[in-house]
Formats: sequence, structure tokens, C-alpha cells
Amino acid sequence: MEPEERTSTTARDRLVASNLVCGYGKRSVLHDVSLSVGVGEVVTILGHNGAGKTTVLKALFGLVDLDAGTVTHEGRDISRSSTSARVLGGISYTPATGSIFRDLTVRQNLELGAFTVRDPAVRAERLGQVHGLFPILGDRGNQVAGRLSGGQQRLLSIGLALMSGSELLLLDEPSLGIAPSLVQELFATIRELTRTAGISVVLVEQNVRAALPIADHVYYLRTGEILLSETGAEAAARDDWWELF
Amino acid sequence: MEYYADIAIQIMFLMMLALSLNLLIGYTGETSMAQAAFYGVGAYTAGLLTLPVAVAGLEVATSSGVAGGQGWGFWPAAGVAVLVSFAVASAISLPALSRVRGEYLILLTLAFQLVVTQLMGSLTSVTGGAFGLTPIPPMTLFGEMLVRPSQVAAVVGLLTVLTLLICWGLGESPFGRILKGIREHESAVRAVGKNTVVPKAVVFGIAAAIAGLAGALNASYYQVAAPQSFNLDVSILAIGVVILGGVANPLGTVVAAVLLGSLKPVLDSLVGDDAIAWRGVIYGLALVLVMRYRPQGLIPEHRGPRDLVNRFRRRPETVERPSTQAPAAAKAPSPAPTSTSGPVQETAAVLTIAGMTKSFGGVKAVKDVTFDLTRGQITALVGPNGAGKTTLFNLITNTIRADEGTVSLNGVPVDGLSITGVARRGMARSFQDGRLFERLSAIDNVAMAIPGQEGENPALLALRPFRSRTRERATRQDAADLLRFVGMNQDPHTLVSDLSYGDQKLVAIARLIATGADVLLLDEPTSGVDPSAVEHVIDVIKGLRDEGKTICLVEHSVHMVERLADRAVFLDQGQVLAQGSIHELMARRELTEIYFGA
Amino acid sequence: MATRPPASPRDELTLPLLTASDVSPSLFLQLLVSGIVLGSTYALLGTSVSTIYSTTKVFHFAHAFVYTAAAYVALATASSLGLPLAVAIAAGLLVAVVLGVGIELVVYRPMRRSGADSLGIFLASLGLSIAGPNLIQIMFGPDGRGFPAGDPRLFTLGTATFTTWDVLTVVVSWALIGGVLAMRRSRWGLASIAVSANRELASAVGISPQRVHVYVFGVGSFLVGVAAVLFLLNQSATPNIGLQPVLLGFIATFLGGVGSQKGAPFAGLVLGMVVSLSGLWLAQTFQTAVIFGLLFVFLIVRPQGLFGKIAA
Repeated sequence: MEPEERTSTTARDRLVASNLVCGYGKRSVLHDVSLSVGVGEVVTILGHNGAGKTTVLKALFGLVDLDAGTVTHEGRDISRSSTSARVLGGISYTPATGSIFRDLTVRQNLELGAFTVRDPAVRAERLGQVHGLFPILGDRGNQVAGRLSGGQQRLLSIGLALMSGSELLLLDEPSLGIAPSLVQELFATIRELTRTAGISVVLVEQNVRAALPIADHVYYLRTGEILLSETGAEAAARDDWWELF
Repeated sequence: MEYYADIAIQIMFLMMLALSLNLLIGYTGETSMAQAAFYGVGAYTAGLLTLPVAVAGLEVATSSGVAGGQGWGFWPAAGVAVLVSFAVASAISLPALSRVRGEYLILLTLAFQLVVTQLMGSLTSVTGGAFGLTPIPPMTLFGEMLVRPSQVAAVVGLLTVLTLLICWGLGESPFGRILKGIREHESAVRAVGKNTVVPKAVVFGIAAAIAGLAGALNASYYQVAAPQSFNLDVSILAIGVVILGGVANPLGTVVAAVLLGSLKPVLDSLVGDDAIAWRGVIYGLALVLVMRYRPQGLIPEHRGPRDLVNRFRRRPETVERPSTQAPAAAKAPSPAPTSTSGPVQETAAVLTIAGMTKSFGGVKAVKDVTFDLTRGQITALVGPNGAGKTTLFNLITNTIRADEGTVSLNGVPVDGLSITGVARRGMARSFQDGRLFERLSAIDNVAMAIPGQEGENPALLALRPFRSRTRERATRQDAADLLRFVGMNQDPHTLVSDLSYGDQKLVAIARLIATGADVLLLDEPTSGVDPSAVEHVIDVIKGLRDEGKTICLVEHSVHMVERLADRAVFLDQGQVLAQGSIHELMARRELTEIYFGA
Repeated sequence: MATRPPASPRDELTLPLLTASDVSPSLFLQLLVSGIVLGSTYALLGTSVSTIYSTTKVFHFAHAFVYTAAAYVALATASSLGLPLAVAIAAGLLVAVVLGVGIELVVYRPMRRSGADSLGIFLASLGLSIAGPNLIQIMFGPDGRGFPAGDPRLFTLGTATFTTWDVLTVVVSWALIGGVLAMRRSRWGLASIAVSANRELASAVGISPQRVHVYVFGVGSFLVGVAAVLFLLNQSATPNIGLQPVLLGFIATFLGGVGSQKGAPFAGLVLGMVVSLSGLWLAQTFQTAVIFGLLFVFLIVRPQGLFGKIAA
């Protein structure tokens, strides 16, 4: 199914990726991947390990060079833009592992998140916003980030992304390494962000059941190809996923 | 005439240093900054042994204040110099044997070089200090003293040719192949059942021994051994020759040694006193420019001796056998005797894993895992991300040491063995990231894994050169057959880095089969393979099963597991939750819950 | 500090130690004082090398050339041009920074772009470290040249003696090391930690590793320039003076543990003290051997260094 089917969506498309082909050296990972993300939407990418989910995020963020295809952000072709240009443009990427600077304090992490922001006033304002969203990050400001609990580290990694002023978060497996009881809570927080701040999220997840309730749209990836795409509601109603993995 | 002979001798000394150093830098991928130190060790050893014996009351006329030597003849002294250099270098390489590589080794050899130069300069009573040991007697041959440069040049020339042949022969031998494997991926060499510690110590020793021989020749030719001939600059000059000529290519080294070696005499006539400094500027800049614009050197590795030979021989491995032979499983060579114990009953478990447990920092990654692998079956490990599948592979092959648990292969415990030992007992693994030897040909990649090659031992190479060569021809034939068996249809002499990803995967499988192992552990054999080539990989793996191999694989695509595996073991959070056919497992509600999250 | 012309600094470590003839019951105190001075120099060199190495992972052997160039520019400015010492020192430091950053921009960065591995970059660096000092030798000659810094005052502490230059060396070294540690909290300091700790995430928050490289090469080259000027106060310069200090800087970095900013200065200080105090039992001749022995043992027993994390 092609993303064209989704033009009925009321949300304006913030990011559109068309026919992405890319890989690492000789190893081609994505064969022909297209997707789009609207303002305030949560788009979830599911698939077996090694299907190329992380590579989709990296391609959207410019960490992997495209062999073919285009990425359009807010109507602008950013297929060849540098990573830092995309950060300035309001995109952020949060890797599955190593998503914070473990040896630095929480405060220093957040400051680095706003590295591209020159204006100290803007930085202070954002810091205030992040502290407002995640008070624990304010309380633990001087703690070394690596000592935080798994859930707090995840919040910090999202805080890092928000500090850059990102409107489009590319989140790779945020549930990894978090106690199962906290996963729902984290995903509720992510959903809240998109509702209140109009932020868009592309979510790569293994934890299908936790990710589906907050998804507006779901793409299933298998060996580098989009197998199927459907709305979050359709996906949540599904009870047999095996054939998609 | 004598002037040119003198220059030729200088060039040949440089050639000997660089040819042997190339074994280290080019083949093994380890940089030594201490080549000149071993050159010096050889020179001083030979010098001290050949200096006349001091007689009480009758001072020996050494101008350096050294009491006297042993009065040996040149050749026995040179022999001892070679042995001493070999021994010292092997000892120095001790930290390199286990885990120290790259920058650490550069630093270590650099420090060693400086220690040796300093001791040569300051241990006056032994070395004669800054002025050196002198007068060292000239070498003799058949009772005649060689003093004219042209005479010495003949001897040095002969020994340089011998060095060239030794370095060339070693480099192209199975021993050299292991060295190159260490350069590319040492862990992969170990995983196919080859020891890497001994080859590393030996190659350090050989490189130093040849430098020691050059040192002995140098001392007797100049009749003096003084510190400035063996300092860091000389080490760096030798490195420069290796890099400019092209790593792992003796021909390049010879050419570069002639070029850099003749710089000084040319510059002598142009700039006089500053000749050495100008030479430094020129080859220093040449090094920068080569690394920047032509890092493979003047003559790249794959234009090496064997490739020249192959061009004339028209590649025996591919033509000797008619292509009409079907690449059936039965034709796959099994180069090693298949397993340690006697015949195994078909129903018996080939591999038994019991009570496997491992914690990382207090978190149990694998908990009391117990299961069997049965001959002629493909077993898949499935489970959500982080279930411990790859960790289990690492534990089974002892890549990571388990806290508890046993692994028995055909009833024999193998959990105490290294990954090398495990591979030799008949269980080999592949790697998710391939770990192929990229700058080696497909055929060399596979040949590396074939067990029982006597050419891997330099001593046997020297003692039975012809037998080793015959054996090597058979090895390469076997490797070519294996490549054909897995359906790698490209020229087997193609460098792996030039192959497509799908073909690279096939080479990896061929390499795994080549170990002769009965139990094959495949880590994501189809990931990253073009959808069109996946079918072929599946056929190859099934073919191996039908041939009687026991196969265990980690595969994330359930879809793929369905097509490949006879049986699956479901893991979650380091525990075995269920075993059975994949359809049985998929039908179980609770496993679905776990796989897709609660 | 005993001043003697380094006959050939490439061939031996020239250490500011008393010779064997000065042996007295108070040798220990003197060696301790010398060890602190020596250790401070090593600590500064270690900080300089580790600043560059921990972030860029470049085995920057050409640092030796930067050191030598800084010394010779300072010398030439002071003695040939006759300008004031302060100007000479400033010129030396400026050249150090320009040269260090220039090497990164002109040599290392293009190599990295064309996919060179760390061994390749090291070999290019080795080439520069050969070409540079030889060029200096062609321009200035091989003989030692002294810096017109004047004679220092002598102090005595109990039975140990030291000079103004020794005090200056210790004070300047530790002030700069402190400064570098403090700068870790600055914008670019944090950025360089970020790049060394997690390159991908650093890029992900918009830090340009290229610009961080320029920053660390600038800082590291400045520090090595200072070390070169401090060296000139006591000893005369030859074209080969750079090798020893840079080797010691690397040894301090590796002994301290790569990636640990405090490790290198600490290891440098310890190294200096051990080398100096080994004079209680060993002749000066063996001091290089002591350093080598320490390195050898460490590489076998604790390859990750004093404060390093265990490498995967």
C-alpha cells in the first residue's frame, strides 16, 4: 500500500519520504520505502529485527546516504542536507542505545541538546519547558546521567531532542531497557507531547502492544520493504501479527 | 665500481630491513617502530662475538675501550645474532600476543627502540659508547677475508635474494594467509579454528631475525657498530620503504628500497652535508602524499607475486576440474575427519547445552538454558529483541565465558575450550557482521578455514617445501570446490571486498563449511541479502542439513524461520520458554503476547 | 636543574637530574623535587596529547614537529629578529596552534573523508614528523641553539636546589592543566567530550565533529607549544627535540587511560616521579629503560591504563 492512500488525512504532511533506497557499503538495506508523517502524528514502524527499521530513521536523519529516493521536510527537499542542517530544521534522532551522554550530568546533557541554539535566552526557555514536562530532570540536574534509572534516561533522551527545538522526533525503540510497567507511561508521555505541542513522532518499536495504542499510522517493514501500512486503529484490532514479521 | 658496490650494499641492507618489516606491517597489520633496534642488536651481537679475545697484559687494539670480544668467526657470530634478535623480538611481542594492538604496539616498539639506542650509546663498557664497537673484523668466506665492497656486495646480494624468497614464500604460504587474516579480523581467524598467538610471535621473531642478519653484515662490512646506524630514523626509513612500495607486496618493497636507498648518494652530490636532512624531507613528504593519494603504495597488494604467476598459469583452480560436475552436496569436500568420537547414533543429540547461565553486571542475561541440537536438523533460536539469542551463541562457542553450565559436543564437554578449540572439535560459528577477510580473495577466505595445513607452520614450510606446496594446491582446490558448492559463481580470485553482498554471504558460509565442523552456528545468515538471492542461501543451508550437518541459527524474521527451520527454541529474557516446530510456537497465545509485548 | 646541552636528544632522554657524582644522603629530597618538576612537564605533555587523542583518536605523531616548530619560531623571533621575549613566546605559541590545526585541516581531514584508517593517518603523521624537523635542520642547522632567557635564580629547600624556571614550569603546567579541565564545562569543551564519548549522538544533537577536531587540535597544540617554550628556558634546541616529549605525552595518555581527562596529567606526574626516584638505585642511563619497563608491564597487566575503562 502506498502512502498516497493517506492524502485524506487532515493533518498537513510534515515529512514525506519517497522510494528510499540505501544501505551500508555493499549491503543494501532499504529497497523501496515510502512513508509520510503529519503534524502532531505518531507514525510507528514495526518489523522483525534486521528488517531495516533503524535504517529508515537514519536515512530520514541523514546518517545514511541515500542511493535513491527523496526526503521532503515541510515541503523542502532535504535528501542531501547534512545532519546538523536537519537538526536546525527541527528534526531530531534518538538512537536505541547510547541515546544520552552517560558520563555527563543531566544538565550538561540538556545543554548539549541545545548545542545549535545560539541564543542563551532561548536555551533557558527551552530548559524551563523541558523541566516543566519532566520535573525529574530538573531535580536530578547535577546527577551523572549514567546513574539515572532506565526510564529516567529515556526521558532525558527525549529531553535532549526537545532542547534542540525539534518538532519531529525520530525515536528508536524508546521502550528498550525500561521496566515493562513504565513503558505504557512513557508512551502516554510521548502521545501527550504530540497533542499539546504539535510535535510529530516516528517511532520504531519491538514492543508492538505498547506502541499501537498511541499510533496514528503503522508501517510494517520486512527485509527492507514496506509490507503493509494501516491506521493505528486497524492495527490495534489485528490479532495475528506473525505473518507480518 | 667499488663506489657503486657500496651504494648497492646500502640499498640491500635497507631492502632486507623493509622486506622483513613488511611481514609485520603489510601482512600482519602491526606496525613496529623498532626494526632498527633489532638491526642494532644483530650488529652488536656479531661485533662482540667477532672482536678479538682480550689477552691479559696484552691490550687488544680496540679504539672504543671495550675489553675485547670472543674472537669468533663471522658466520657463527651472524647465526647467533639472528637467534638473539629472534628471541628478543618474540619477548617484546609478549603484550602484543594477547590483546595489545595498533597504537599501543607502536608506542611499545617506539619506546623499545629508544631504550636500545640509548643503551648502545651509554653502556660504554659493553658497546663502546657513541663511537661504537670497532674494529670489527671483516667477514670471511672460504678462508678469504672480504674487504672490497664488490666482494661483500656479492655475499649481501645473495642473502638479500634469499630474504626476498623467504619473505615472498612466507607471505604467499598458508602461514602468510593466517597473518593476513589476523590483519583483517583476528577473531574470525580464531573462530575458524586457527591459533593466532604463535603466528604473531613467530612473525615478530622472523622480522627481527632478518634485521639481525642485516645488522651482522653491516657491522662486519663497515667494521664498526655505532648507535647512529640503528636509531629511530632508520626504523622510520624502513617503514617508509614498506609503505611507499605497497604493503604486503615484496616487489613494491624492492622497488621502493632502490628508490629511497639511492636518494642519499644522489643528494650527496647535490646538497652535500644536508643530504640526510633532505632525504628526510623527501621521504617524509612522500609518505604523507602516498597515504593521502595512494594508500595502497606504488605496487598494490593484489598485484603481488601470486597474481603475476596466476596470469601466466591461467588459474589452475578453476580450470583443472571440468565444470560439468554437479555442485551437489555429496561433492562438498570434507577436508577434516569429521569429529572426535566414533559413530554417533542418528537420534542422539550432537550438541547438549545444560544449565547455561550468564550475568552482566548483576543482570542475568541468560538463565539456566538447556536444550539439545539433533543431527540433520535446523534449529532456530527465536524470541523478542534482547532475549539473549546472540549471547547464547557467544556462550556456546566460549566467545564469552559462561558463569555456569556445560556444553557437550558428541558427549565430550567443550565448555573449557577457547573458540579455536571449539572449532577444532567440530563446532563453528558465523558472525552477524560477516567478518570476512575483505582484502583477500574469496578462495583465500575459504582456504584459511581448512584444517590441518602444514604450510601454516613456517618450520614445516622450510623443511618440506615441496610437500607444503602440493598440500596447498589441494587446499586451494578444496576451497574452490566449496565456493562452487555454495554457488558463488564469481571468479574465486576476486577480492571479497569486490564481491556483492550476497556473494560475500556465500563466501562466509563456504568458509564455515571449510572448517569441517559438524555443528554450524549461523548468526542471521539471510539478513541483508537481496530478496532474490535469499532463496539460494536457503537452499544451501538446507543442503547442508541434508548432508548431515547439525545447524543452529539466529534469525529474526519469523517468516524466514518458518521456511528454514525444522524446530525452534523460543527464548525470552534469557530463558527457554518453549521448544517445538515454529507453527506450534506461533499458535501459542502466551508466546505471541511475549513476542509482541504485553 | 642541571643544564647540559643535549648531544642528541633523539637518542636519549635528557632528564633534569643530578649526575651520579652529586650523590649525597639528601639525594632523595633532590630527586623528589626534580621528580615534581619533571612530572609537571610530563603531565602537561600528557594533557596535550590526550586532549587531541581522546577526541580524535589520531595518533598525532606530528605533534613532535609542532613542538619543534614552536621552539624554533620562538628562538628565531628572539635571537634573530631581536624582539622581546614575550613577543617571541607569543609567536611560538601562535605557530604551534596554526601548524597543529593546519595539519588537521590539510592532511587528516581529507584523509578521513577518503576513508583512511587510523594506521594510515598515523603513517602520514609519521611522514610529517620526519619531514618537518629535517626541514628545520636544513634552515637552522643541526646544532643546539639556546634561548636568551637569562639566568634563573637558585633556591634551596633543605638540601635540594631548584631554579626560578623550575618553579615557573610547575606553576604554568598545572595552571594550564587546571584551565583545560575547567574548559571541559565550556560549550566547546562539552562538545569535545560529547564527540569522544558518543560520536553518533553528538552529530545527532548538531555538533559538528569536524569543528570539534579543530578545537581540540588548537588546544592540544597550544599546550605543546607552552611545553616547548618551557623546555627552552633550561635547554638548547636541536631539530630533534620534539620526539621525546611527544612520546612521553603518549605514554602518559595511555598509562592514564584513554578517554580519562584526569588520567594523563596524573600518570604524567607519577611517571616523572618514578623516573626521577629510580635514580636512587639506577644510573641515569637506565631511565629510558624504566619508562619502557613501566609501559611494558602496564600493557600486559592493565592495558586500559590507570583510569581507563575496560575496552570491549
